[in-house]
Amino acid sequence: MVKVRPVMPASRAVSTSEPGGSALAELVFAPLEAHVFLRYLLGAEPPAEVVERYRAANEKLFAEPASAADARLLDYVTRRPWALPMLDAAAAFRRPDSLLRRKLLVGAAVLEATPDFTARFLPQAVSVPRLVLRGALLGLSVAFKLVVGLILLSMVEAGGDER
Amino acid sequence: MSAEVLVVGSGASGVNAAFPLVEAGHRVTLVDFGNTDRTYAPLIPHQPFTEVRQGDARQHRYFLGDQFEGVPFGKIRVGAQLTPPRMHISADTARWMPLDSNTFTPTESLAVGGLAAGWGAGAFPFDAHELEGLPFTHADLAPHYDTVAERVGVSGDRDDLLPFLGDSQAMQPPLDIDSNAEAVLSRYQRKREKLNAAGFFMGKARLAVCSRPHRGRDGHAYRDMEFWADTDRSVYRPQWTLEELKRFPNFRYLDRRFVLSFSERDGGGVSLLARHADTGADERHDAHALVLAAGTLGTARIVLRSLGRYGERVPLVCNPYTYVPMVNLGMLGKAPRDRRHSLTQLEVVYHPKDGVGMHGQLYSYRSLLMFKLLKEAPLPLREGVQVMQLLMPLVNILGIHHEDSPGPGKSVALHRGADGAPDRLEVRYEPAAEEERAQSDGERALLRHFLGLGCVPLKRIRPGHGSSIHYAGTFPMREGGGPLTVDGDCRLHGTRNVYLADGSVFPKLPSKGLTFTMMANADRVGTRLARRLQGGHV
Ligand SMILES: Cc1cc2nc3c(=O)[nH]c(=O)nc-3n(C[C@H](O)[C@H](O)[C@H](O)COP(=O)(O)OP(=O)(O)OC[C@H]3O[C@@H](n4cnc5c(N)ncnc54)[C@H](O)[C@@H]3O)c2cc1C
Repeated sequence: MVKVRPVMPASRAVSTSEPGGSALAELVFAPLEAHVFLRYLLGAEPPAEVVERYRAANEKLFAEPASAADARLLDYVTRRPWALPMLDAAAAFRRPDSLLRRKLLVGAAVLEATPDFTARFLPQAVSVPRLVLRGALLGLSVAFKLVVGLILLSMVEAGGDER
Repeated sequence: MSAEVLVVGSGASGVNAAFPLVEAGHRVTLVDFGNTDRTYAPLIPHQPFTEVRQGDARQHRYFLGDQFEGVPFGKIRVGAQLTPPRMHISADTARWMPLDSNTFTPTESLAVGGLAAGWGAGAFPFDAHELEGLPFTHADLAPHYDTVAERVGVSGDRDDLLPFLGDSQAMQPPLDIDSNAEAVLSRYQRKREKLNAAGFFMGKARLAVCSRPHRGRDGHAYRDMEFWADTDRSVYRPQWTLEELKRFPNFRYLDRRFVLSFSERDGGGVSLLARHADTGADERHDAHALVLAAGTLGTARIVLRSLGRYGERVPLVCNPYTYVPMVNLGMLGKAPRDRRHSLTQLEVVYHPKDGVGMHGQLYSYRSLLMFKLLKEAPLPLREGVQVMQLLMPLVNILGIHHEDSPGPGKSVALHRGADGAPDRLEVRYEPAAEEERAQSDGERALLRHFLGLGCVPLKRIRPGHGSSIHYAGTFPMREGGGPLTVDGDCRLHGTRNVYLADGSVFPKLPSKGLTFTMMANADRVGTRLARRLQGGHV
């Protein structure tokens, strides 16, 4: 049977201001980050209008300095976009409240509310065999990214990011 | 003889208390803070959800909010269903009505229409057993249920829930349910006998929504935009009654006022002290009688301040609430219909023989957008989007309400604000461990029945105490009760002409939402007061 999960109000559940944030972490928005994140979500170069909206959202939502851990993770994926799918998988599993996940979610929200991309976010009905097949493929893809991502995440957390 | 009456609050209780007074010819002034949304409502097209999504380039403004206030972080919170166009409902409350609590997170309102400007419109009359202990009978309230059902427009079916929800001549046909709910209901019908024997009953939602044109409002248009806009005005909002009231010459609406306190004048009548929201100037308003309908917690502030009862604890009740996302296997391989609504599709009444009763509402998920589901899923976002596309037609959400009665751990007290700061309401809400255990056991049993209907529960989420947004019990109705109670007419003990018309007066709550019953009682309070004033008994 399912488990009960008591939930705290957002203000108490999330802390974005642990001590030790680096100067880099003070950056609320970096154009490179916007391109890397939105390209990852979209699979294509994002239109300028979407980048601008993502920038505005960052300014409003992430005004507080990031923690050192969050800043390190953001820096890592921005410099190595190939690692983003894996680290997203690992963060979703192990650090769902991380700044990386929150920024990606903002990116997804911005895309979902843009008419050119809404179709990707509307429900899709498929036959049972196709559902099973697509479910299995998605499961495999997630499993692979999660395994690699968890290794990468422990490296980043341990500061194993030699530039 | 016509008398002057002041009503505080334009929520579900305020407008329904004012209506019979105005109809009887009394001069009524409704005093209200009166926040409204002027930003988003004009932007939202009168179109179905899918057309809006595919065509409106400005949708990011109302779906996400100009300040991105519609992109919530952290865990699911109280009031998470309030979207940017509805967020004005709770605006300014932290500043004007500060509240301290470690255990309770309420949503309060200073808006035109109050909380019901964004409510889910579930309209449930209490039965005779649920009204037990009150100084009036079900038969006394029955005509007011009918009056209010006609005034607000209620739709529903005469199905298995009829014994629990009663009938009304004013009831309009039920709203059509969506494909997801159809699959659940047809399974229920096949297993009905066994489920009923176990105390599980299911039927179509009883909603304060017009399914056909009514009192200048359109019938429901199935645009699936209820969480965002009131374009067809089919869902009841107290604003519609306020508009009707404004057409009477003996009615006056006074907004931008924050009511602080009342006092009774020696020569008779009541004086109200209010602060202008914009200028900060204090004003006095005099009348023969006063009806307080500022919401349970809002009214508690006004009463405790007026009587000087700082620091004194009064009881509080609030339905405990849990919700459960589920996957409906009955939808596997089926295409959902686009024509639908986002409100409750099906209701469940669960009364097991050897456990506590509870009330469930089943919703489907679409118009609150996918990114809110993505936030809860431990999946990378690229795959997450694809998984949700496949899962969304199958997802339904069960909201479970439990009954509540007063207890030693559930109370509120008002504390004087320091150095001219507003007074602070302190809420303690710590139910006994046995209560919580019984609720949890009951939920588990209820979910087992849903599993039998092909709905696989994913997890149980308790958004925290206060999240049902059903507050009551602060000044309970009791014939011959002592200080800080009200009598059968809902007149505050120790006063001559001060009446309470909101949730404050209900000593306990059954597992059903209280608002429809609260509106019926407000109509009863207004009707009885009108008669009293007619007779010159002031
Ligand atoms: C999202 C949501 C869904 C809900 N769904 C349901 C449902 O399906 N079924 C159900 O039964 N209930 C539901 N509820 C609860 C329901 O909305 C409330 O029970 C009901 O609206 C309370 O009405 P009220 O008139 O007592 O108080 P409120 O709605 O709180 O109204 C208070 C009014 O008083 C005014 N006011 C307050 N203080 C002052 C002051 N000091 N001076 C001047 N004016 C003041 C405010 O401006 C406001 O107009 C829901 C609530 C929400 C938010």
